[in-house]
Amino acid sequence: MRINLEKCVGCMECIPYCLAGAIIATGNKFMVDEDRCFECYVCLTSKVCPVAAFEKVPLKWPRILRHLFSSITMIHKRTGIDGRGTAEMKTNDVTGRYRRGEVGFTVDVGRPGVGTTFEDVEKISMAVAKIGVEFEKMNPVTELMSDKSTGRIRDDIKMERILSCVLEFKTKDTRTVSVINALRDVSKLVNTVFSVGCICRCKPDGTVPAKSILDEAGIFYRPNGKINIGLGRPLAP
Amino acid sequence: MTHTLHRQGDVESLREDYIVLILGKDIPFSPYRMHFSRRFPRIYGIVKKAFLSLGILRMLRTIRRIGSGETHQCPVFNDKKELATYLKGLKERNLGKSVVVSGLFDGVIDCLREINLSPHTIQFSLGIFGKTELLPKKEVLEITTMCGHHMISPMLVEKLASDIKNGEISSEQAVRVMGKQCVCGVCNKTRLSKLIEALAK
Repeated sequence: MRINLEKCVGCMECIPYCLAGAIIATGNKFMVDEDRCFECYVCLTSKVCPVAAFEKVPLKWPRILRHLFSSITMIHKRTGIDGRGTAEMKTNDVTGRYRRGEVGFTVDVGRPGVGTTFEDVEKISMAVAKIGVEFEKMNPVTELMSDKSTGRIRDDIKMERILSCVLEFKTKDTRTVSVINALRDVSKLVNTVFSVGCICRCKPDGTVPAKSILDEAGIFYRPNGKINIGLGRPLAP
Repeated sequence: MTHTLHRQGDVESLREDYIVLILGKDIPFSPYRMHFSRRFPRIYGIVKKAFLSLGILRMLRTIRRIGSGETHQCPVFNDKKELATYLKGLKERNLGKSVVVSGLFDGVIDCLREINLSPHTIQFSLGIFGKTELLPKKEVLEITTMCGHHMISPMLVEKLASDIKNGEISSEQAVRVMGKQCVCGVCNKTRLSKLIEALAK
């Protein structure tokens, strides 16, 4: 994204809308700091500029990733899903992605609102890979790994800044606490925040095995969350 | 996307905040849809056809482009009773589509019991890890996390709260500005209004 300096009237209306804090002063006008910009296009789509000074710049690889992981309107080619590009547990009743005896994790790196680079994403993916997790194939971040067994991210994208992405993996439920401990340890090494989700397939009577594991280990979880209510028709039994 | 999972706020505030997401290409029973179909049957027919071929998010964008963004929103509920009625309708329709409900676990499970359903899969939010000192203050975060994709910037929230305090805009106007940023429409506008008013004070 860039600001056409010939059009900019320096009204500063756009500044509060920028998610990256990337709009900076140049004299009595404003410009976009390319390093900080997420290419989310919120400045443009909010239509806040009275003189339409925001202009898209063609995005090449790897910069296009900023837009893919920061705008919600982009569809990820691999998964065919908008937003952060994964259905995670939302379609578990149809896909059976997470089964009984397994626990799934979603790690929203950069969320809420801080943003991240793939360098930090890699720190987290490599930390959990050591425990023996299986990264979800139908996830756009997994696709960017050069080595899915170690969680290594390809080198050419590491410095790209994005609003957030979802690392997604599963493991045996007996490893739940180990994964959370690894996430706690790596949280001291990253320059951002990440929001952690823990997914569990319920028993036929509705009880939630992961809840007992979290409770026994004294692990915090919020009183609100997400429930797939099982109305989807399974693809396979 | 984990979307509506990590909403911040205390239990009292979340007691009036439930969101339903249907993974499919048509959302039945939504009140705005019925209202729209009655007022504009012909346009509704065209919209529905496009909806079926394009999918939810693309259709939302299309509707925004033709200038009627307010007419189409995700189903967001302010109490358990409304939620239970809606879910009952979905169950009876037997669409075969995945349905995900976000909100207080106790509240959602009560509704499911009422209509003889039990949870299939649950996702817990274990909170925010890392450099939490980079986050805005709690009251702002309660608002910004309501948009699952974080399209509402903390600076915008602060500015709108300040404008309300100075009598430049009303809380309804502030909600409209923030709601416009949340393309998916999952912001609970009733709760949003209460939170921004509290912040302005």
